[in-house]
Amino acid sequence: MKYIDEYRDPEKVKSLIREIKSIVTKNWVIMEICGGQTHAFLHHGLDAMLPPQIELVHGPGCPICVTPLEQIDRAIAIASQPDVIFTSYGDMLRVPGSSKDLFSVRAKGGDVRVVYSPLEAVQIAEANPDKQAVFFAIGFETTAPANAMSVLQAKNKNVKNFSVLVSQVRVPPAMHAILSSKSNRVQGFLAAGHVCAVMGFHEYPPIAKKYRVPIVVTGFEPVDLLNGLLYAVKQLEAGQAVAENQYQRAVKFEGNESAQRTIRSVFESVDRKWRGIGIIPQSGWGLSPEFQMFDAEKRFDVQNIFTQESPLCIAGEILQGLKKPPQCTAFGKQCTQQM
Amino acid sequence: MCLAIPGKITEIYQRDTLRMAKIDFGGIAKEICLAYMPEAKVGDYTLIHVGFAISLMDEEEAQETLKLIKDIEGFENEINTDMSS
Amino acid sequence: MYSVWKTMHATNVTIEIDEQALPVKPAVKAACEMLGFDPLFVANEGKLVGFVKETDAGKVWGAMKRINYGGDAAIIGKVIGVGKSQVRMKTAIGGTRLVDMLPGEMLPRIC
Repeated sequence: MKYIDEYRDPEKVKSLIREIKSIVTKNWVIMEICGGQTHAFLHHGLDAMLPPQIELVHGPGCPICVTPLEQIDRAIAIASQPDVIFTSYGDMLRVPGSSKDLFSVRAKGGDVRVVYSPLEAVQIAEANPDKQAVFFAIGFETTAPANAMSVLQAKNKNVKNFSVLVSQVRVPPAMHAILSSKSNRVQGFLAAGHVCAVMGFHEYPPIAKKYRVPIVVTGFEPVDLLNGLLYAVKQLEAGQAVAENQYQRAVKFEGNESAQRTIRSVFESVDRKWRGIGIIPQSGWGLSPEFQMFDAEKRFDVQNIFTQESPLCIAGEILQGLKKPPQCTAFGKQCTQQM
Repeated sequence: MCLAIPGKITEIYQRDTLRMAKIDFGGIAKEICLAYMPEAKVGDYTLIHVGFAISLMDEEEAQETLKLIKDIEGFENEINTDMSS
Repeated sequence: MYSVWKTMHATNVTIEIDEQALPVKPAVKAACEMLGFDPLFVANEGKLVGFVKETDAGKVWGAMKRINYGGDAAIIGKVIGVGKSQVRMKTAIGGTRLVDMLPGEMLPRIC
């Protein structure tokens, strides 16, 4: 697979690890923002190959993990209604709300369907004119262009029985929130390469300068992750703090301007609640006035669902790199993968 | 947030006013939307996330990245040769 | 994967699988990459997983290769310890990771 296999070369991996080991002299705490990067570190066993001076903390860049409990409860409330076809990306089905998940709605007869692309959700709406088709529009900036296009298509084709439950979040405000916290430990970032493929990385130099942290736009293959770490460690060891791009084959400074135009048209900046963290101002996107008629929260009157997170849950501290999962008293007990 | 794969465009066509494409990824054919890549053409590699092309893969930059890493490998081999001689 | 895992639990051993030795068809690998699936957990009925003595492994593998459906037979790992139930994988890039059974249905990922 071109652009993948050559970035999984074990010899290059060994060289990069040796190079990092040869230059690191102090302990450094580095956060990889994206859940996909976290997955790659663990899937390839890379995390255990790093020198002990480097502590990797896993950031809040997983839209599944940061979707607030309220939004999941709203999704469940909508999906449980008769004559609703609720569509979603696959990984949301297993996330528990206050008392159940979308899987259990499906098990009880709810029409809950996994889609690969949001355009499929619009097609489902067109094919079922007597039902309401709702799409769970979650994601970071990487997914926003696709989510936005589903709404744009529905408008252009006058698909009135389509609506979206929006839970879009943005990376830079989350970085500000982490870095401005008094208990912040993060000294450098591997920025989310695919977010930057869409948005570019022009928002990062001011963050790097303000908080004096190196930020390296990084890809997702083992060679990319180690290359990004190498750049970050070089900066840290030299006392530098700039934004730079490791993932040059896929990311341009200005990003994808066509995608950004559609995002700006369909969405507008809103405050968003992050699971376990709370409201981060202007950290998300909601439907702009022109597209409000597609807002499932209003169409199904679920705006007044408010949910209390378990007092045991420290997901917010974990997602900010302040604590690790084994430090949670519920980890592996009340809170398991089977929930 | 970011599962995306580099697919090679094998065909481009229009559907429902949207520019669509067939891509080849490791022998699998998939239909994706090219609405955000107006400059993409058949033969290009594009990064695909949830059925949408979001970026063009830059072959020159890819080679440059690999070359820089090769230089690291080469430098290490030199050191190892010096140390063993 | 399920058979390996069940064997591990039944016999209290540590098993190490070699990712590079796993015979995954290229199209399956590509489909898994696209959807965020792990090929280890994709349904794969009609397969035989055999545990044999190290000294017999080559012979058994050779015999499997010679029969009709055995063309893709492969030695994919070994029992490396007794007394601790664990399945590990030596990854293709030279790392090691723990392999645990999936809790429930595998779902396509966006993240």
